[in-house]
Amino acid sequence: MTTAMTEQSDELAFLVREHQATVWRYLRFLGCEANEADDLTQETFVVLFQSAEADRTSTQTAAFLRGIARNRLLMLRRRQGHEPSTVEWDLAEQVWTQATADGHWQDSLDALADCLETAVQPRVRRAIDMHYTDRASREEIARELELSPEGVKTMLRRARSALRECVERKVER
Amino acid sequence: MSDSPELNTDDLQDRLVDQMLGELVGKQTPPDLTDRVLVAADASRPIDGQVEFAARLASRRSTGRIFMVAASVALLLTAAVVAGLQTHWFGLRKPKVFVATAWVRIEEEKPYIAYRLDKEPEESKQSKLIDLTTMGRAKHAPRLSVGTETEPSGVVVGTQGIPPEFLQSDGIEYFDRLAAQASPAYAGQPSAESGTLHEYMPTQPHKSDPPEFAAETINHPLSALRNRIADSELRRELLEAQQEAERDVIERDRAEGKDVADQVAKVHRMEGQIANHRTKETLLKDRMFRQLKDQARADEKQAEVNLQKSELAREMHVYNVITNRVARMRTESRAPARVAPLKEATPEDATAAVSVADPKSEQAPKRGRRSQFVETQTALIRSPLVLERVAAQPEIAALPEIQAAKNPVGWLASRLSVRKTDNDDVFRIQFAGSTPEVAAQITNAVVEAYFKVQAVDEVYRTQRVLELLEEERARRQVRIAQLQANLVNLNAEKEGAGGDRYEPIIDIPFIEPKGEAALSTFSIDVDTASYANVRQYLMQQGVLPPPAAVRVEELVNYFDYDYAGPTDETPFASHVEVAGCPWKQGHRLVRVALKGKEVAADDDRPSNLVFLIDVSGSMNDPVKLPLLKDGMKLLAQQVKNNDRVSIVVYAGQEGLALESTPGSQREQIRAVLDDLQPGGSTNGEGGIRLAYKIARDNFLAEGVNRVILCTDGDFNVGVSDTESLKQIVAQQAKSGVFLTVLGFGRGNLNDAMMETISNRGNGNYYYIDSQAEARKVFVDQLRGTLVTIAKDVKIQIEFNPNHVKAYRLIGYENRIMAAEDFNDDKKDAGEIGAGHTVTAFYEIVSADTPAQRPQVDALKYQPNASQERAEPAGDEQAIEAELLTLKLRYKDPDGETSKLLEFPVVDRGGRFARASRDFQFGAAVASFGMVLRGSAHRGDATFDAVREIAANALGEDSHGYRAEFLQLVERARKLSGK
Repeated sequence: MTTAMTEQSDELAFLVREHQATVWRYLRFLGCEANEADDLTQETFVVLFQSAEADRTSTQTAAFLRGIARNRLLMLRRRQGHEPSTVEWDLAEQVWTQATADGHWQDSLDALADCLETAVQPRVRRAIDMHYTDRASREEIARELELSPEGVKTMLRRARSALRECVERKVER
Repeated sequence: MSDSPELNTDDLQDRLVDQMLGELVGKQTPPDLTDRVLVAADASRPIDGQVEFAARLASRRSTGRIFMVAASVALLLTAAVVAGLQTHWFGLRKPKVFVATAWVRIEEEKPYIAYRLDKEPEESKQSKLIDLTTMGRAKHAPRLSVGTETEPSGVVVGTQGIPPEFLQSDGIEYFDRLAAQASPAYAGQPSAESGTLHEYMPTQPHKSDPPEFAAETINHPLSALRNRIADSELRRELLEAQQEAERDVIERDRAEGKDVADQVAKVHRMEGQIANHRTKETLLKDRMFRQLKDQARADEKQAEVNLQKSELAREMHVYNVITNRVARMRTESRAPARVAPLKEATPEDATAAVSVADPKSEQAPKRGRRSQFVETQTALIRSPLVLERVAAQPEIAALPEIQAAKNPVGWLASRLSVRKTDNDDVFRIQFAGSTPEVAAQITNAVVEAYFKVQAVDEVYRTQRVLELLEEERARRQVRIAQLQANLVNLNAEKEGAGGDRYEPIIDIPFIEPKGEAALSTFSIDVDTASYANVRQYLMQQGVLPPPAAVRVEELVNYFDYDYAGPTDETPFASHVEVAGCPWKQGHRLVRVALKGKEVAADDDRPSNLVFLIDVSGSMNDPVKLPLLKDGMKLLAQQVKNNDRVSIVVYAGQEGLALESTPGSQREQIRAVLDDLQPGGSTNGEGGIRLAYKIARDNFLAEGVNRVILCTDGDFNVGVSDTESLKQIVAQQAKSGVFLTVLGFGRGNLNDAMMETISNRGNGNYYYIDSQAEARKVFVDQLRGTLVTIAKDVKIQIEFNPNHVKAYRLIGYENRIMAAEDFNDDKKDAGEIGAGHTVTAFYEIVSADTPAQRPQVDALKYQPNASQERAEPAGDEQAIEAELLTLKLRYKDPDGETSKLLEFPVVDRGGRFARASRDFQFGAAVASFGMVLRGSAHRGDATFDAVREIAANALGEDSHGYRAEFLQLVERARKLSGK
């Protein structure tokens, strides 16, 4: 490999390490499966790599990558025969940028960890663990907690809503 | 996102928390993809000079994952063979296209692919089948890479150019060695450490695979060749070594004065053997190279075909959208917005008021639409379109302010205020002038100009938009035709000289019945070739047929259905039946069926039949010429005494085997048939010309005149492009000589061409795969086929959008016609023979109309939705209840103008289970075709479901065709492994 190529690769590696988690999360947020997100993240950076060199700030790079990722996903969905609605994506973009600005995500994650300890009933906590860790089905959770499956759904939704409020309070503070 | 159509901010935020919880609690954290991305980026670099080969190999940490490595190695092997060959053996530099094909099955582990593929990998629960066909296409060199996310790749090899060791080996051992280094588990065999690559190479290279690998060895078509080459090389090297040793001995013995004649002879023999080995190796390598080239070409073509297909699908979609739009614009009222001055501006109060009524809003008052309309009007008043007119008025242009202004329009706009009042329809227009008089003058001028623009503009704009859309639509149509033609060519090229050739089939999509799109028009088709062809694939070859060989309409039409014939003078009767759709809950299925008039047994119209028989070398096959002869003999027994039969044979040269002979001389006909022998190559066109000449020379004005072409479709001498053949047969069809095509055999069946020319020749196309089929065609059906009772039969269906949200014609892909062609008698269409049946299915998505809701008694005390609207008068009500109108056009066999039949159809809401047997069986056959084709519209249909439905709808089945169908389904199910 020539020196120039090595340098290019090093720079790419740097960019990948800096942004890959965000791109991957963004894709997941837009509804990708984990393996889809893996592949699309890879593609996104390859496109970045192939695009003309431009000096970008970290934020600009992030936005640029988001754009690529979104297009790639759009292309994938079209290939799969779905035509996603752009309006929703715009809304999603809005929600996303709010949630992730300036390392917000990590803060939120930390806050969420706190909130999980403090703001959640043990019973609800059990449901969350079963749902997210054990990937138990709604019916399984319902059986364990003696609820209806619909009740589990509501419970989880309420829990998330409460957690969201808790996280928002903590992050703002 | 597309899965959940209506997401709001709350939902999205909920999803965010969901995602965070997944990450925090469920440990679904973002993976480290750095290495992957780097390799992929590296691979995406364009080729520069030599092929670069950066191969990295790494093993998974845990031993349970060894297989992954093994499989990866297998991938490398195959690719390496390709690379090694092209670069080393044959010294090709800078290959423009560099295709390697490998099929890798990777169990359990998520594959770590350095290449993204155009195609989605087929997935199943346990394994992922990755088709790397497209990798390294075009400008990109393949750079193979296998590694893990957690561990940086183990070995990095050759960056610029191919490493010399790689070139010295044939590439395979090289990777074996890398694999051995990377994974101890793989190194059960002599590794490179034990010697040079050269020494390592001849020791059974292909047996060095570990057991896991061997179990799943890629069955690459080239591996056998590769092994044979390696074997030969090994033997040769041994011989060479022995020879060397013998020579030493000879030298020594000579020096000692011994007799060396025997030994010299032995060395000579060895030389001969070595030379033989060298020749063999050269030949084998040459063959391998050619295969590689073919494969590369085929792969490239496939990629090209896929590309064109997706392009075509997109174009068709756009075309449909445009068609819908045009139709909508045409039907919607295009009256200009009605504007009226409410108040003129005066010097005292330089404010004008204008009332504007949105022409559309009166029909469908919608808030959003109206405010949008108002905004456009506001913008229009302030636009240069209006203000330029104002500035151009002499009295205004004369104003000092205007003359002083650099940009009069801009100046006007900056001082003009247009506001809508609380009443949406009324605008207040105000101009800030230097004097009240100027203000009033300009305000009024603006209003006046606006009115003019409004009146002219709306109509003009609509017209212009329509024109543009029509232009665009025409362009798209041309493009679609081009793409379709490209696809056909590409497929033909892809199949190359050998192999059967099929025209690709693209499912007709669901279409919304809006505007002209409510019309579905197609030509009938009574061919059945595809069914016999599919049967041959399934039952005789034991493989699933290629999707392009499955024409659903021909499958459906293969069977006899018990439709009633016409009772009046019309040549055929039509039957429409509607019931639930068995493969898609909630959809409806419409069956349109035609039944041709039976010809009375005492019909003594004579026939002038010219059999054009392909006797070229390729017909020398038990399922070709012998089958044909048997069938013909059966037919010879059927011909009437006043019929005339001629036989033209064609091979290297065409010739008349039997002059036009009366049907009474059956023995003579039989004798000629017995004498037919295969030999020579084919000149289909020369034969066709001669056959038509014979047909014309013996033309029977009152009878049936037909050329019956029997071939495997191998027109390989002379002008044999489809286009010129099509012209010949179409021209002859006009003069009254129709064409029937009978296809035989497999291997170079040119299905596409035979279908096309039989269509053009007002004829039919049958495929004959067995004695039974020969009997069916020659004895049971050909008679009917020979007597055409109506030609250019077109079906047009108008769907009622009140009941039909979308419809889809199943099959008949290559029979679709433009709506306007229905009434165009110049447009050719299909023929229907005596006693023939034609069946077509439509799948319908029902509109959510009151008619579809559960019936409740009418409410007594409140007006319901339908009563609020003006109650339709009796006739309209009846029309509103109709599901569709079936329109048929046909010409008498010798007629030039078409006749029109029209039947309205109402959906009685019947369930599938209650539908007629024939309906059920036909639907089963149609869904069988869809499953075989892998159609996206197959819904819940499976081979099992097909069999279940068909088994319950066998009916009388006097010929046993339906029972045989069940066997086909069962075989297809087994072959598909489901």
